Order: sequence, then C-alpha cells, then structure tokens
Amino acid sequence: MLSTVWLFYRNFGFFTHAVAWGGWLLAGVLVGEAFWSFIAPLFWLKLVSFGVVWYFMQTFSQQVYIFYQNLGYSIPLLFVGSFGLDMILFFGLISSVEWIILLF
Amino acid sequence: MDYSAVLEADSIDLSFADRKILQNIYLKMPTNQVTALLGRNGSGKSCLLQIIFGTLSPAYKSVRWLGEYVESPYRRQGLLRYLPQHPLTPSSMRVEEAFRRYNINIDTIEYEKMPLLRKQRMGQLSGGERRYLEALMVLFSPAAFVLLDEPFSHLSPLYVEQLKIHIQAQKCRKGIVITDHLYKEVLAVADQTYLLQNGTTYLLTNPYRELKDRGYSVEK
Repeated sequence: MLSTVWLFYRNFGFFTHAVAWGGWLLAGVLVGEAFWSFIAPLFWLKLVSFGVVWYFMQTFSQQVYIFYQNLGYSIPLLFVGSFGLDMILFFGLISSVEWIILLF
Repeated sequence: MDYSAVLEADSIDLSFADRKILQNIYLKMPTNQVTALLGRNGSGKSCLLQIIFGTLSPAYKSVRWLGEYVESPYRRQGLLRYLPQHPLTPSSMRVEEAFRRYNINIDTIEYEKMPLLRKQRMGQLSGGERRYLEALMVLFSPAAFVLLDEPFSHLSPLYVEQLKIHIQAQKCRKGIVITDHLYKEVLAVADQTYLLQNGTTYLLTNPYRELKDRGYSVEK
C-alpha cells in the first residue's frame, strides 16, 4: 500500500512541500520554542494545500485516479494516505533542519 | 458453464441535470464470455461502464456479483479491472513497472516488441503502442471481469487482430465486457451483444440485422 500511495503522492508532493517550506521561510525560519508555536499554522497550511490539490485534480485530472482504483484504492484513501505521508516527511525534514540550525 | 458466476447490473438510473442518460438498464455478464456493448456516441456506454466499475454514482443502481449486491465493485479484491478511453498509466512509469503493479508477469505476454519496450516509459511510447499495452495490462489482469472501453482506438489493423486473439484467449479465465465503435471487430469476438439506445439496453439475438434495423449501422 505504501508504494502505491507514494506513487500517487509524487504527483503533487513537490507543491505541498514548497508551500509549507515557503510558509516556514516567510515566518522567519522559526526554531526552538518559536517553531513549536508555529506547528498548528503549518498543519493548517498543509491541509489547505491538500484541499487545493484535491480541487485541481477533481476538476482537471480525474483520469489519473483510474490507475489506482484498478488496484482497489478509493480517492479518499489515496488522499488520506498521502496526507499522512506528507506530514511524516515534512515534519521529519523540518525537525532535522531545525536540529542542524540549533547545533551550529 | 457455471451459471452462478455472473455479474449483473440493473435498475440503473442516471441523469445529468434534466437530461436522462440511462434508465431501466439490465446487463447480465457471465464469466468465460465476451459481452459487447454497442451504442451511438453520447448514448452513455462509458458512463455505464463507470457505474459498473463503481466510480460513477447514479441515482439508482444495483450491481451484483454471484447474486450479492456490491456497493463499490472496484474495491472488491480480484473482481474488476477497467480500461478507460483515456491513457491509464502515469506517463513517467516504465512499462515493466506498470505490468508488475497490476500483478502481471510481463514475460508471459506474447508481443514481439516487448523486449524493446519494457524499459521505456509509458509517455515515450506512440499512442497506439501505449493503448495496446494498456489494453493488455487490463486484459491479463488477475480479475474475474475486465471492462474495456474502446480498446481498439488508435490501434493499427495488425494490433486490432492481435488484441482480438488475446481477448479470445483470455475469456476462458474471466468475463470480458467490451465497447467500441469498430462494431465488426467487436462482434467478431462477442458471445452476446447489447445495444444501448434511448438510455436503455437491448439484448440482440441477430446483431448485424438488429443493429441495422435499429439505426446503429447502415451496412447490409
């Protein structure tokens, strides 16, 4: 399942990462205590960017789904799986970057 | 034949705004047979296939497998696979990966160009090659039924003949539902034929004659 969700997520993962990293940079590269207070806005930013992706795919790229539906995956399952994967990847990466910044 | 191994679709009622597309549909699709679905442009063939697959929700529908109602057939493991009219696979995906993800051993596919094409990405293939390979992907899938929406589109006559041979060979393992405007090619492989006209289905007993009588074809 993870492999299929990853395949689907690759269609738009760059966009959702760019939005979240952009938000973090615009907020002033928050680290430490300030970073943790910024977690909730980042989460909502992620949710909104996923909403935008969902809207555009529903409107312009519905045909993309059939490949995955043939494998038994529904559209909500693909998006929920991708959102979970995106959160793990993003917060894993940003925690690593924050740790490196604090270290040096 | 096992008469219980039948996929049925009935009581389908689909409208877009005030326009009625489908009503009083009844399709009985046995395994080990090729069921042809013919109809004019805009008659609702693709919509009907999507409803059977489970990705289009009409006002009313009943899709049954072995007599049991199935809410989302595509989510039932090993029941259905669907070839849409448009390209199926991601363009960046390699041919061999696409077959592997659909649980098909690519080495079992008899196609002389396969050794050359298997490492290529789907987006690098010609429209006809891509269509042919995607039709094979769905046709060879480990599923009880496959729904083929215009599988002969973009194919040269040689590929059409090869695909017909594959369809005939695969029907001993599954049920096949096929719709295409190349009706002579479809009728050549079909065991039973339905015509979709005025939003409803008619099972044809003498397809060539009835297609002409009903105004679908003009040839004798």
